[in-house]
Amino acid sequence: MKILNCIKGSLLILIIFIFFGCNNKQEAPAKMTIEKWKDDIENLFNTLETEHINLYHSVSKNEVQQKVNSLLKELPDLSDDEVFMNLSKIIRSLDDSHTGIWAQSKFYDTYPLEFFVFSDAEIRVIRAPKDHPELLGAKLLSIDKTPLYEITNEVLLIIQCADNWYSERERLASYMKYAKILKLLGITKKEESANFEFLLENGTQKIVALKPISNDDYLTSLDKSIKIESPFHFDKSLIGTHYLWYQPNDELKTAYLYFEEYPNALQMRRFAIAVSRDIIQRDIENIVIDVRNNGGGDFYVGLELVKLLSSINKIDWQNGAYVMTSRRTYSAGMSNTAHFKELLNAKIVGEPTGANPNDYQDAEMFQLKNSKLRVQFSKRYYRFQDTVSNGIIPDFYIKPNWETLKKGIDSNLQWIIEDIKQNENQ
Amino acid sequence: MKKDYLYRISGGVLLLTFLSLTFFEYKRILSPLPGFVADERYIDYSILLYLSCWIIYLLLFLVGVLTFFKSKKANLFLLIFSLTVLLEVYFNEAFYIVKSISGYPKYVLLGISILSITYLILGLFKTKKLNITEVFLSTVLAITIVYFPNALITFYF
Repeated sequence: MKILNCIKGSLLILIIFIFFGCNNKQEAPAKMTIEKWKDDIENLFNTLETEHINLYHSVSKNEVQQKVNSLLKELPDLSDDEVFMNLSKIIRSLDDSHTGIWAQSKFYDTYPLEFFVFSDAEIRVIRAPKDHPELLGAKLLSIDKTPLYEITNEVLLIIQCADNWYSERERLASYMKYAKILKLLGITKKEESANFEFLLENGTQKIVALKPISNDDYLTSLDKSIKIESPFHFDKSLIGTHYLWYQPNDELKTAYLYFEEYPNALQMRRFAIAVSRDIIQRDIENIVIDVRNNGGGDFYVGLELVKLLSSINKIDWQNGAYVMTSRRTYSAGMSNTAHFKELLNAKIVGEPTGANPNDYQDAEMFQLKNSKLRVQFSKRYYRFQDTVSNGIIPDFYIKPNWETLKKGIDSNLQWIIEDIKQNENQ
Repeated sequence: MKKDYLYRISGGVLLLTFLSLTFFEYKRILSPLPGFVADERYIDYSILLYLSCWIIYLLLFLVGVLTFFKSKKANLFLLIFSLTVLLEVYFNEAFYIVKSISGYPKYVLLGISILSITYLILGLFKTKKLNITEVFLSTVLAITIVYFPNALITFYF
């Protein structure tokens, strides 16, 4: 009987442990008071000053201190969201590619639109809401009568973790659809809805009233994305998983590697061995590495891929290695792009990377005790180039444009395939 | 006498399974395209990626031979084989991007190992004797076999 009770007791403890152990919901912030905010702000800047490799590399300590002091003075008049926005502005002013601050996910309720910034005067909808498919390709003119240039100027002040024009525009496209941010910046009048004014593809202007939705419902609220025609697709891949896969094309004697995320080192080694094995077997001569959606991870894991690939003798290392980049190529994605260029003699095709080759990187995160805001900071300075540049400048710059995108043309890949064919004929 | 035949039949089935799986895997791993001649690097890579798979086939062969000859050690090797297969399949599903065992060989091996474990557990109820040392060493060996190729990959590169 005693044993039975003991087993019952153990089971109960186990169930409680599993229940609380699996409860991975976001911790709710405490009810904030001025004292709690002061505590968090002090903790934030103390931690950044201690842990960041060089916090004041772009702005003086005095300047930041003045902004913090003025925020502390204004605390009694500010709402929690306004304090967060002020902190975002201060952190943004540090101009650091890997230092940023974020609220809990419910802060980021979003309008059901996906934008792409082709230029500061041309921000288009590249994925429309399901109930407004006519908005696909429409140019944004204003939100609640706030003109586009004002929206851009305001939103750019609070985006986090951007390094150059390209990553700034990438973040801008995301931040300008967050309902709370638009309201707090004074761009919209209400948080519950906003009137978006567009210039449609047929030349007519249209005002659409949209309501924000939670981040969880964002993707399901959107219409289908534009289908990009490509001979390479995950469904046809031979080796890999959705974020890292390989597909050979025997006709072009080309290997296509899609590299969006980083697995761990052993998984990457096994992947690289399997890919190398297949390349050897197929007499492949060209290799295309697609890092256009690679936002970062551990670049040492990427180096495992470089090491294995560079040992394949059959590839034409003079002309046959290509890397496709975009504004979304960031952090370790950018670092590995530099490695592919240096160690594999790869031609960079596409847009400059969102991250700069000589910059502060290698991020670590912590959470503020009371407000539960998440903060990230840089720990290292990396130098991947002898010269300073805004992003890794591609050997062949292909500027994204709406006309080719709407036709579903992958201009970068098209250019590479033409180049491979030309090399073959020579 | 009747039981002897049962051992011969089970051992024979296991050996036949071993032969057909190795033949299939040899074609898949080392001679995938007609006319392809594997070079040294290709063979090295194939060994590194599929070593645990080959060790499992070797274990299947040993289990087959030992069962056929009704050896006392048949049950021990059956346990090592089953644990190794279960662990390898788990690693394949949960961890590996590049699988070492896939397709129907995976299901055949998984089926044999589940049947073997069931047989061993039923045998345990009958004899009421459990050799903890054998179970412990079999588990350690199974973990070593599954981890060994990965250790080699890390060492090699």
